[in-house]
Amino acid sequence: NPYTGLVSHLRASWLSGKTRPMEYRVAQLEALGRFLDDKKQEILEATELDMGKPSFEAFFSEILLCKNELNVTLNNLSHWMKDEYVDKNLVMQLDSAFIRKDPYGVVLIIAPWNYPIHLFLVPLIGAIAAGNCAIIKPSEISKNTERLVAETLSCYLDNDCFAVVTGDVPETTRLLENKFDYIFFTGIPPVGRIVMTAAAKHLTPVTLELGGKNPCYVSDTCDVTNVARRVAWGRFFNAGQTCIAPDYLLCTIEMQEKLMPALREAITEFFGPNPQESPDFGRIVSDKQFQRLRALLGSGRVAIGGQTDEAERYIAPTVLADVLPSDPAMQEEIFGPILPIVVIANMDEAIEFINTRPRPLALYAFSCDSKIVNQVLERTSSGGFCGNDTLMHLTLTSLPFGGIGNSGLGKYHGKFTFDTFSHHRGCLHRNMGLETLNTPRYPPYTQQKLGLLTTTFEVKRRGTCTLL
Amino acid sequence: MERMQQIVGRARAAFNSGRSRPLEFRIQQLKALERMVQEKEKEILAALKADLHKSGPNAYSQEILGVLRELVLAMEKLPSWAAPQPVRKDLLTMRDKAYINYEPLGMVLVIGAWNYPFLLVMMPLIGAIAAGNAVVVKPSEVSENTAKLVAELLPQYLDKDLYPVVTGGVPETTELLTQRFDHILYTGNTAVGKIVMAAAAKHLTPVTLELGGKSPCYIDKDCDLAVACRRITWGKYMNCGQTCIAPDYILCDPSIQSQVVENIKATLKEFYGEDVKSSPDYERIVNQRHFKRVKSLLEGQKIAYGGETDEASCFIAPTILTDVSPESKVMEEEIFGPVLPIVTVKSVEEAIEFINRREKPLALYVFSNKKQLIRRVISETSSGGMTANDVIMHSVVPGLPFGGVGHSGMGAYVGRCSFETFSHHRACLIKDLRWELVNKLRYPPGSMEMMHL
Repeated sequence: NPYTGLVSHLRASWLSGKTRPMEYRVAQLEALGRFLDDKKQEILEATELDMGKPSFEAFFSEILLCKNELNVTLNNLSHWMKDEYVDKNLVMQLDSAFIRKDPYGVVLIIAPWNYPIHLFLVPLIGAIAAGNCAIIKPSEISKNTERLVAETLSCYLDNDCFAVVTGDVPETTRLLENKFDYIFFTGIPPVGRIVMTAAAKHLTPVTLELGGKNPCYVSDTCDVTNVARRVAWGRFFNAGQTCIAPDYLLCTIEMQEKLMPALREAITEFFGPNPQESPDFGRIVSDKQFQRLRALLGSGRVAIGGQTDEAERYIAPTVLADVLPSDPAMQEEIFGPILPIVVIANMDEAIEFINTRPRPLALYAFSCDSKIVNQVLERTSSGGFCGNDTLMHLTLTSLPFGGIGNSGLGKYHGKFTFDTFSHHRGCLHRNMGLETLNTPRYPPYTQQKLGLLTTTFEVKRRGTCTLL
Repeated sequence: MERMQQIVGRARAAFNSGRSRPLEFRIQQLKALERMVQEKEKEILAALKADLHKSGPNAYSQEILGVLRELVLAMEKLPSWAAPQPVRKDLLTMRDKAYINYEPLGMVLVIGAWNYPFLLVMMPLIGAIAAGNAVVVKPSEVSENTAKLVAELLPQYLDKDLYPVVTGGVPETTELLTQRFDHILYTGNTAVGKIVMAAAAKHLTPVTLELGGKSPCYIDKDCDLAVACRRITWGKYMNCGQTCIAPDYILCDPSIQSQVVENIKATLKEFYGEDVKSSPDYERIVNQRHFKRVKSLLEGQKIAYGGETDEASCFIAPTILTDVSPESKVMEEEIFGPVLPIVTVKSVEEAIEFINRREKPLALYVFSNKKQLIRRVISETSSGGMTANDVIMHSVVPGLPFGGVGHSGMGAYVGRCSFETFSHHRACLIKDLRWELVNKLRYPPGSMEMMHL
């Protein structure tokens, strides 16, 4: 196996203990910060070459959000690393019981192409913070960013503990044959299954950040202008190639009518009369994806946009009206700048529509009536939820980011990334004295001893439960 | 195996009806479980006696006490555990509501083990119910009396559709694992753990695997040997060594090996009397297969104490082996029996190295008067959990997560940790439809100047 040597090398480094001291982790994290600062221009250029990512967007998602995560981690690392002391019962008052955060060892981070820096760097921050060594496997589809990361990351991080592996599907398959102590994968559900199956051979725990069709319900009572802007922003960011983009809209026929001009206005406001000329609108990452998306344009009817340019892999910000659940656009995660609107009669129908489908990574609901937003939240299930906006729940580092069911397992961001890459080890340090207190637990067993044991270990009910 | 599909389908339909979500319902079910344990105590103890030769007080303290405690904790704390947890907001979200909503995952599968057959289905079941899920319970067929009893009792006390019990062996479990669940908690061995995770991968189902391994026990020269050996003897030979977190083997300096043996011998006599076989407090190996397996580990070993066996009653006497070679069979697999090998090491460094060369264990033990040494062992090794100067006890501290790492498992449960394991932690951000001005900063057309605001 071409990677066994590399994995062994990293494992040897980890066993040497060099990644454990906080100073080491801080130094590596600060180096990551310098990578982002020094290579900012290169990152903007590479992502522009890869998918026409507008500089504004690239700065926001690939630099700013990453630096936020870095700073939150550096600010809190010493606190996160500390042993967490827990409550004890009667017999343990002289003992100390705590949770120790142990690194796992050598972790593997597999990143996708749509936010090619962010989606390896943010997990890597947590992996380093937790004291692990890591192999990073960037996506081969975002070729320019892949090259940038492979060539320059090694100048910033300790090469004995962190390595970048490049390659296609065959290489990734061989990489996955090795034993890792944790695997963090971001990508599509079918590959998530492959990764978890490979991980099962070694009993490697995993976090899978997958995807799905994120529904966006718009109620009849809402400020159409603001809704249109927020939905359009979320849908067309990165030309729609965002795992938590609103995938499709659910609303009544009257709302569809009201939204259309508002959406048209928002798109013009954002990208001008010809989005193809706007520096703020991206392109599709590959010919394969472009063709896949173009085929979806036959769903419903094109109410806004619909223009394409194969040479540039440009698809205009598009809204499809009157889309049917059986249409092609409703069969797969769109992952492009196309927003289908599916008409429903009312909120109950919308909720039923959502609940008969696989649970999505994100779910959105728009209404001026907070009760409606709440109902949609309470009666559905999704990785995350945002009321009256799109994407924004991702930017708050104190919220866990992850899926459920087909949209993923595990979570990260902020402290959750650190916790993901740490083994929480229950530790009890007992006193060697006071041996007489242990007598009730030793044979020969008697009812009397049992009585004593029950008294010391029991959790007593405090009064009656007020709920009943 | 259509029956399996029907059972699981019915449970899922029951979950989808929403009736397991209200806290009142969950607490009502937990209360019913509490009643079950109290009313059927005799039957439960009888089943444990039939399966593992556990004595009454022994079985009660090992399997019922912990369950009652977990039930009381869950009923008491559920409202606070289930409450939405507000999170710290930043400048952009100051005016918004940001919180984590704890929601049921849906359908949970609990696969129990035979060594603590009642405890190991009840503890996960309690957490899964508390988190609002439907639960399919699959007790181990090896402890058949307890399996039968659980299958009879649960439907008498709990909602019949939401919490079905499925009995059977490998074929039934394999069939069950083809169904889709939203979380699987499996307690058992490493080999089957891999099978469970591979089956879960097909449905992208998260798993908690409580496996095993060889839990090392290092005894420092500088410690109260009498106390240390008494505590080790208790943890090693309880349930006839069939405990996932029993100290599997001892590491110590050759100069104290014989003292260790003498102390353990003395303690064994104190616990079980002169004739162990007639002590009501000493259990038996669960079946012939495991009896033969454990017995074969004695071949070619220096037996310092014990070694007597009786196939008819699956009896193996508390046994100590000395000067054991690290390459011998008894040092290859988890013993899960009343055989205690002693491997000599010259220093704590050697012990740490020895431990780290092997798979990460479920538990790790170290006995020493030196705090520094203990801290060092903790920091330079990895294990699911650990106790210093005792054994087993980290598993009864309510606030400590119970779980393995590496080959000893993944995920954790018990107490609040169970509730969190069986819940989906849904990030919720609720914004206002007004205050659009702030949003304009992020909309195109963008400019770098705007970015730096």
